[in-house]
Amino acid sequence: MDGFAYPNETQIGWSLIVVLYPFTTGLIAGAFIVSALYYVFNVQSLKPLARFSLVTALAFVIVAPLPLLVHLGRPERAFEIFVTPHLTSAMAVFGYIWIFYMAILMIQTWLVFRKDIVTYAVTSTGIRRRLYSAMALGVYDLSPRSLAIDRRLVKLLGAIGIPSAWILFHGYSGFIFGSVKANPWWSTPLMPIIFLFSAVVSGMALLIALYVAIMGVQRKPMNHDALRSLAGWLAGFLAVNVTIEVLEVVTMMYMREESWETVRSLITERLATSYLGIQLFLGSALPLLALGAVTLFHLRQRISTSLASAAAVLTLVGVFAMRWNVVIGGQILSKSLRGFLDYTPAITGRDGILAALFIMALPLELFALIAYFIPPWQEAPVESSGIQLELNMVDPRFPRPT
Amino acid sequence: MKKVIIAKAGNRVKHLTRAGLLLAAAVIAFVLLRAAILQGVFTLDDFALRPPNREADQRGWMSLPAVYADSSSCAGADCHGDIYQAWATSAHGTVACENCHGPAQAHVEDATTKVMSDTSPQLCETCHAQLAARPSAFPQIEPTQHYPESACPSCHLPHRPGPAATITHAPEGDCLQCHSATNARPAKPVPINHTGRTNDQCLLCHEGVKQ
Amino acid sequence: MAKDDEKAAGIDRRVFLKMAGGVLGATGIYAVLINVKGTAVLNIASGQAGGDYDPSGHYWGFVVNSHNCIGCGKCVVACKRENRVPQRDDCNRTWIERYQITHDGQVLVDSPQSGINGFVGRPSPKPDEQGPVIDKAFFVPKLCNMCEEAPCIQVCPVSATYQTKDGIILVDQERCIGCGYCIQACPYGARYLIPAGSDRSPTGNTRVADKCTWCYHRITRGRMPACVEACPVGARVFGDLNDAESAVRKIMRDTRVTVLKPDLGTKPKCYYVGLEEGVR
Repeated sequence: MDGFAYPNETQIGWSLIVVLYPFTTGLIAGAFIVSALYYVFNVQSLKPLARFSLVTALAFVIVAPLPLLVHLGRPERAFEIFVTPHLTSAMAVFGYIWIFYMAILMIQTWLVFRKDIVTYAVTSTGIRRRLYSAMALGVYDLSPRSLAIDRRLVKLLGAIGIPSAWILFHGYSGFIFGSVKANPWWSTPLMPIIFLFSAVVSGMALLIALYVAIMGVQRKPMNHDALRSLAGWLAGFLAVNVTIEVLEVVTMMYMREESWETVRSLITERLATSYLGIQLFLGSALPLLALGAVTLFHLRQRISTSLASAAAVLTLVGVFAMRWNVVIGGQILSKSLRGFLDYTPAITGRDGILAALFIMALPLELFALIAYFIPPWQEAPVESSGIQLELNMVDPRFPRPT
Repeated sequence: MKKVIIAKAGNRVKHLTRAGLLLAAAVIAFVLLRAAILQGVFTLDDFALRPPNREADQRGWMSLPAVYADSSSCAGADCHGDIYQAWATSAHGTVACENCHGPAQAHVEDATTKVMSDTSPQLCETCHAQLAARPSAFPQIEPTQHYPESACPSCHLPHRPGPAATITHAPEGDCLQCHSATNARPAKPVPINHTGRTNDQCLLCHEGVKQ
Repeated sequence: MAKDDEKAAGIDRRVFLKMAGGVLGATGIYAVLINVKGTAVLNIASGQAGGDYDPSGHYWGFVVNSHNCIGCGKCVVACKRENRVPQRDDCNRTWIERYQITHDGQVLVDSPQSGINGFVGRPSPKPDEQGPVIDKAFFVPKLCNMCEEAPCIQVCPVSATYQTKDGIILVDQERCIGCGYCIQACPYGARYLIPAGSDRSPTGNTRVADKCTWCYHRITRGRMPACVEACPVGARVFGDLNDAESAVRKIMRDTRVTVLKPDLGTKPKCYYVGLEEGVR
């Protein structure tokens, strides 16, 4: 402890594990926005990445509550959030929002990949066939009419999903911090907005990094134009994001309220490396330069993609630092405004670095599992798989496909 | 070419209806589970969000056992009435019995339970050691300078504390011959804890002859 | 022939409905089982509460008089014993802060072990010793403020924290999931989590939130909170805000009182006499 803090404040309640939670939900919201840009807004340049981003969002959303569950004092009572949610609490609505949003993502993924699922169901045998058949809910309808209905539903779900992802699923986690008037580092109406934009930034950066890594490892051809387009979107959102983040602190500095002295100390002394060095410089300024170069200049494809990948990795580190600075920074600042506390994450234990790595690895493993069954980077070729679809009755409303 | 017959014409949304059924089943299952957890019989109350055990919890907090009694519990005639009377009108009359004797609710309920008595100088110092933050009118001493080799109760009776009086005459023989607590002669009696002391010990505190 | 072909394509309706029905049935059986066992889940310590105590007849309030406090720490000792609070320094239902204002305007604040052993032996700079010259110094006892607009109640996700009709805020420690949000939201640092494996806990639960209850088990039986009983100098006063002649109402009439962090709008029911700018 440095200076004075209320005696109970030496308990740092929200540890590294809790930092993972807004980081994860941000990745989900960001990845989903990319898919929505194609499925809802028809941004054709992002089409090659659309299925990829949907599977990424799905893999992460299934694992999303795990950091919170692990961190609860009483994880076995976690279902109480569903049974007696307290509606004035931003944290209470999380349970239902997560279920709702996961349902949207699952249905969307199912509809987008249904053609592949049915094709795999028909062309495989044994247990795999049963699995795909179950995934298809036992319906093998691939007529143009049904696929058209699917597409419209995907668009509708995407449209519902954008505010769900942004405002509900991730914006609320910014509200969790921003609405705490007790903490001057957290309390600001801008917090949900900052979280939203950094979520989109992190999601897009994750997609670029993941796509380049996976296609590179599998030695598959990458779609460089799609990557360049996504890099442009990332640059735009990153620019807005860093503007709002800096605006918040500059406004505090200008207003010089009672808490400014201690907040200034926090930024310039305790969080100097992680805030100024990593979040702002390495995680925002450098990537902006790199992404700007990629977007504005016509560079060779390999250079463009390498710069975009490096920028994506730096951005991810920067967004993680931002979550750290908010969650941990807010707790090491004493509410007496007279001192600071210390926090170093443990290595082992529920709250430790190893647990955090394990939890972050889970969605990647889940992604691999999902991609094993329905790989997003290849469309299941119906025509060459040797099956012919037939309607067994002719209906004048639905002409037989040629 | 393998032929796969798909659904009857006209029913292009069979997969959606099945998905819809599954979703509805999940929602109904959740509602049932929630009502069961709340131990309800599907009355409207069970779908309310307020926890059903709220009143029971409040009663639970109300019924926790007390560990401390309060000073008036010591006052009974069969108990410590004499000490209580002396204490209540003394300078320590606002200092709870249990501050020095520890929590006593167990002793109030069962008198055979022992109650401790802390006579250490540390205890007295927590209140009476000189500190800048204490109100200056509050009696304070500097522990390193105020008779550090003596125990506090040797001069200051805890149940009736006060400074040691200056004597009004030079010592004539053994102080306790006249000033004993049981002595009938009209000399000011001394407190019980003064038995067995020699004149040198008396003069340590009762120094200085008042003119 | 058509029928055979139809069976070959996917799962037909009857089979699907059978499967869905099976899932529903299993859930139903599980729900019934939970119902039967369920009474054990939400079990709280019931005991002989003061049967004729009517919460709606009272509205409790507290006054802390910082002018009188001598920093002896007896209140902290009594509270920890009365309420079985963990012995650790980071688990406090009440504590004492010392403010020392130096000659050049610096404000030094400390609370060694929350004040449980008093402040003797801690640096007490005097003019003739080395160290800053102290112009003014005083003690400020702290405890839960029982805010009328409590942020802790607002943020609890499972409705475990609530306010009673007599104005006391309690934590249902059988329901609390230990998320820690209420601890973040309290502007006064009045709450803490009972650590895992703690051998002391008011209700026997660990890893849940706890805070001062103004000794609800004592005040509902006509007694004073343990800290009020223990205070030798009248720095803590407790009473019924509904009763115009109660000790707290009298002080509020006779002196100027204030609350901690009034700008946050929490509307505390714990009033302070003798605070000063800079005491938060």
